Amino acid sequence: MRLNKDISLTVILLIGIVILSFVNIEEARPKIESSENIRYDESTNTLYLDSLTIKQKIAQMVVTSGVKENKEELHELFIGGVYFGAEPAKSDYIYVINFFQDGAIVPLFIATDMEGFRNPFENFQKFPVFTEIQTKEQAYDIGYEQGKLLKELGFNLNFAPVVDLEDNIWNCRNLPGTPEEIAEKADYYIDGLQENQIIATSKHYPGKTLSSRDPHKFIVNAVVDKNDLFPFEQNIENKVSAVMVSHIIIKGHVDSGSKPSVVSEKIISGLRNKFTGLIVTDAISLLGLKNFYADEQRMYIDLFKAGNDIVLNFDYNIENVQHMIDIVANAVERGEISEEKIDDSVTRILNAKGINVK
Amino acid sequence: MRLLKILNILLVAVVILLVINLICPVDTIMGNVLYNLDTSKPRCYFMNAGISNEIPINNCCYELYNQLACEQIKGESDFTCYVSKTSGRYYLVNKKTIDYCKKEGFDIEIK
Repeated sequence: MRLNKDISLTVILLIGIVILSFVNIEEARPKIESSENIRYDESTNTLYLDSLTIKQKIAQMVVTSGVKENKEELHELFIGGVYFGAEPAKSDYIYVINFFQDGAIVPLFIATDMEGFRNPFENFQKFPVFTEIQTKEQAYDIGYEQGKLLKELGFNLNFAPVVDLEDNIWNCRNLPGTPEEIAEKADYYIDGLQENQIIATSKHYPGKTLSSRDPHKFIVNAVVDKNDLFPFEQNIENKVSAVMVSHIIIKGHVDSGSKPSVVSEKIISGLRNKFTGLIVTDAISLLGLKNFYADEQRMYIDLFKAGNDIVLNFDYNIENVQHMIDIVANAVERGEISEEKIDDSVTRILNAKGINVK
Repeated sequence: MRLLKILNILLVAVVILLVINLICPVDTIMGNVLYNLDTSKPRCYFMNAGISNEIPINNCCYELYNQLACEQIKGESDFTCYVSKTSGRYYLVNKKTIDYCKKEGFDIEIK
């Protein structure tokens, strides 16, 4: 009798484990809507914006980690781009970039951080750090060489140059000289990159991002003056394609209203008034931003609401990226974020990829 | 009889784990527990041609994510992280930093 009871319990527990295992697997698998609805006319290279769902529009505004296992889900989501750090050899980059572009409805942004100090290609090509760039001609040559390499490998978006006036943390990331000299060298570097069809990104707006600070403090405040802004204004005049906004809380010549610049509508709309290119967030996993928010959902909404075009979410777990897209899509649906603003960003992104938008 | 009892206890434990995993993934809980057990402070240094610069932990995780790999070493730091083994630019970090960055969702390659 007792034995029968124990056996029955074992059977019930086993059935429970099987059911719970299936539920766990189902929960772990991202639920992604099909991308079959997207109308893209290859003959005219035109994408019809009204064929995109809100989630697909948000996804197009996201650049995430190039995790090979996530390729299919990223394509289905209609993600905007993927980012690569270091790989051992040229052939590894060419393989993985082709792998990601193959089957994408529209080309992906293929992004990296090729600054010089941060050189993911160091295994096969070396470049000087920015502090070593003495002349504008040298800046152009380095920009051109980096652009040539990036193009050869299949990249189209580079998060450089740094135009902060000083770097007291790494002590090698800034261009040397006066604000005017920094702006001029950055202009030449940008020309070198963009002549190779690589989108250059002036960073980190509005400056003072690499200034000395307590290494154990996450949330950072700084005061900027017109000199900090000068290189950005000069680069914008010289047609830089993108500007990256930092997580620093700023006061002074511009004011982020006691919140990180990247989520400040004041900062982003001020930049938008003078710049028609792409506005890119700094990596949102950086803790200066994350630790400002008690609620991650609020952070996601504020990032898109502020008016950024491209949001860098490098979380390797695709579920977390999808979670962000869902949260923001809900905010658009309930009117908290303007869909018109989202449409403008998606149009700018697709245009930057060389696609016509209707 | 006794064996069956032990088996049932184990099965109950598995059921509990599966239910917990539905609410919050077990690897996240384990990651937080292991991280909090280590009471040392995260440390991160950028080495550039022999000169050491302390990097805020705020920025360090992103830099480690951009390296090719981190390798365990002996000495004051637990790991060295680099793009190229022959480079004069690399990072020296302790285990707490690696655990912290992983907990924050950064994909860091450990050799």
